[in-house]
Amino acid sequence: MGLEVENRAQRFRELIEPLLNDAYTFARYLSRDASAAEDIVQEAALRAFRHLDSLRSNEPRAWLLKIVRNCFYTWREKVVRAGTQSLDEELAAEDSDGRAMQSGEAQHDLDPQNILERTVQREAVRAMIEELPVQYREALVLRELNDLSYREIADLTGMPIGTVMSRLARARDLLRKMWLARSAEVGVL
Amino acid sequence: MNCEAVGRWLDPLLDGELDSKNTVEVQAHLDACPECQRRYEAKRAVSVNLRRLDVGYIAPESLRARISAAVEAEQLAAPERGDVRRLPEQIAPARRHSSSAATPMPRRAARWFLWTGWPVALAANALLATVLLHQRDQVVDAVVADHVRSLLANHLSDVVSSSHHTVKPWFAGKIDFSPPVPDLSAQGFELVGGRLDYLEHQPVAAVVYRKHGHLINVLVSQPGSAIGTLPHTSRTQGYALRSWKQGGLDVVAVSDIDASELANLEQAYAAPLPLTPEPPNTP
Repeated sequence: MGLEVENRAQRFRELIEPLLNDAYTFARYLSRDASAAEDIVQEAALRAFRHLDSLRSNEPRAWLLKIVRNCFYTWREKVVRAGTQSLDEELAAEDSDGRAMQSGEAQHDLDPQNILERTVQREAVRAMIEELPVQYREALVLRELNDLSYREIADLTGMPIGTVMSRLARARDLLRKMWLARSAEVGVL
Repeated sequence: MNCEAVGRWLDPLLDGELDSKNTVEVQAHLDACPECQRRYEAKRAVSVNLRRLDVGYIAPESLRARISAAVEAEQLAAPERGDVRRLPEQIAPARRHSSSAATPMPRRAARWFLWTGWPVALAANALLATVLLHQRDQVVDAVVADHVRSLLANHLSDVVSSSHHTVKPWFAGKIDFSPPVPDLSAQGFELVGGRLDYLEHQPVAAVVYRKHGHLINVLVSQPGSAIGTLPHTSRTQGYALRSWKQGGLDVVAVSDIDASELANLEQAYAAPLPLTPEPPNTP
């Protein structure tokens, strides 16, 4: 086995393996399918390994997530062609300005919470994020969960920064509305 | 700036993506306009709660194991391969070959890739993607390491005092700049003490605060230091960082506390913004 390959394996362990949670989170929210997300991340990791030599940046996360995104679209094309999932991602027209939140609702508590309650909340919010149209979901996850900058998100998605900005704003507004609606249904969330 | 203009900048402000001029203007508007302030708080609540609930996912162990196995298989299959950047069409046969070898090929090897010729253009994009070249990851890690070390090594403070009148003079003579040591008790940040550290071979002053049981290290250095290369906000390994410039010094706050608290800290720690009196808006 060549030294070059061995070095690559070492580099992969150092740079890529620590990012697998990020990759899986992104793939999971894009695909909304736990087992597809595993396939996507596995393929992305393999591609990352094969092409690690082309990673010049010190910021491998955006690089890896871009590969994940490409793998996701390949998967989705496949699934759509097979007719097992419809393209459901068209944006429903909706006014963007919700009524201002009551200050009480805007409060976020930092107190330790009952773990069960928190798990329930977490699952509820995960489901809400999955309901967002894909372009908003993507911007939100990349920013809030993967912690990418606007510039990185713009590079990754091929969108102008202004578009990234408005998608993110829209995503937060939509999520807040769902969150409020659900809070009204089940009490505190 | 009117309410409509400000509305566009709320998300960038929240994300630390706004330049300083606009930050000052938007902030001034928010201070004067309760309606926009509420809109901002509503957005911030979404962001804070997302992070609080930790809605990301952990990659399953089985997936990690499969990836390791697949990488190993690649390594074993590699010697004959001159150029790793083969055309995509060649990848499928190579994978079939390696799965027929004795190497344990992952069970769930992404099947759909074996028979899909994935778009060359997309792949090339991924390969050639140039992302910002920043040293900053290294600095982020160094800052977090410093924070963790201060907690672990029982070396939180060289001078232990809750009085800024004690902590601030302590730095004099030990370091050739004077870090701000404001009293932030009104904002709930209790002063713990100060210490001297080295970060990326440069001396930094650490001012330590505590809030809700979370310790916050505020590292201050002279301009041109590693701290100055940090992005406004970053997050790693469960720690949040927030960096800014203040009075000719570079500052970064690091803690496991909620990122929004670091924003509060920055606001309180940094010199008060000059409040430009603005005529009341008629939206």
